[in-house]
Amino acid sequence: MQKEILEAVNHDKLKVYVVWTPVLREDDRQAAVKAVRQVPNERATHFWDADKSLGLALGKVVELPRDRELAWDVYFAFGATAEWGDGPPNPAHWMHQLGMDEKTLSGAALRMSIEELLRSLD
Amino acid sequence: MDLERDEFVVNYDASQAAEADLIATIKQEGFTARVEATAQAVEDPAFFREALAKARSENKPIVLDFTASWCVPCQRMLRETFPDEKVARLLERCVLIKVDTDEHPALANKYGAVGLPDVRLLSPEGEELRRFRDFQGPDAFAQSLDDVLAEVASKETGDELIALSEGELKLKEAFNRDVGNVRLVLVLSPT
Repeated sequence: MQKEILEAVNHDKLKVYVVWTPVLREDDRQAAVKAVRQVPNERATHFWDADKSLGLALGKVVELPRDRELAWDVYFAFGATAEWGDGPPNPAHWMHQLGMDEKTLSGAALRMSIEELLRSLD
Repeated sequence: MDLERDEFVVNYDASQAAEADLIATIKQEGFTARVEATAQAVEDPAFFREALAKARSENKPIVLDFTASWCVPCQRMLRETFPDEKVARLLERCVLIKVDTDEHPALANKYGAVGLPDVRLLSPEGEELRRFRDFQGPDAFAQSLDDVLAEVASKETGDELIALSEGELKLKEAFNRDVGNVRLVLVLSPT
């Protein structure tokens, strides 16, 4: 993921936000801080979602597999005009790692989607 | 002022300065000095020393709360701030030391707690990271605790550049500030 997208798409118009949301018992803030090293990209801004509110809010804008409500291991790409109002906007593209279906994460596919959005800025 | 005729009393911490060095420094300024008494070093009470040791061994930040029964803002924090659900959850990851300044005046004096409230957030090693001299409501205090916990955790990882924020509002602010850019939001589990 890191290699295929964050390093491959080297564009100053791409902003990256990483939301660390607790899912497992050991998912505390300290674990999140350590996990930040998994995404050591200077463009990334990291958020700790202690009460899962971000994961739940983002989970509402897409149909997650098996009627899940909490978004985790989910990747959302938003176009340049998207604005966050009362809740998150609908993503232009999204993918997940929550099982196998047509939305299952493919780094190459997500990268192409992001590149397409970036081209639309030109 | 005729300095020749004035007398000054200098208190100093023997663990921080040698007596001979102190006298030499005073003499360099043209004064004379003599040591009349050496005060017995005030040993911190056991509960205090044990709490500091616990913080260091568990790498937890310290919440040092100098308080007193007559301190109105302190008592308000006791009722409103410390029992707050979010604050209480964050405090579980800290070492909380409450020092009643009436019961432990020497300790309060040693740490310069001359006015209340006086709440300090310290690193596990005892370094002062935040200090509050007024009432702290639950939200503000929780945010400060959260920030300090992140600083301590960041220090542990050796990555000083980590900036974790909390809450939907902050992502919303960043997201809308960056309108005009393509934005990628990754929602991940830490482990």
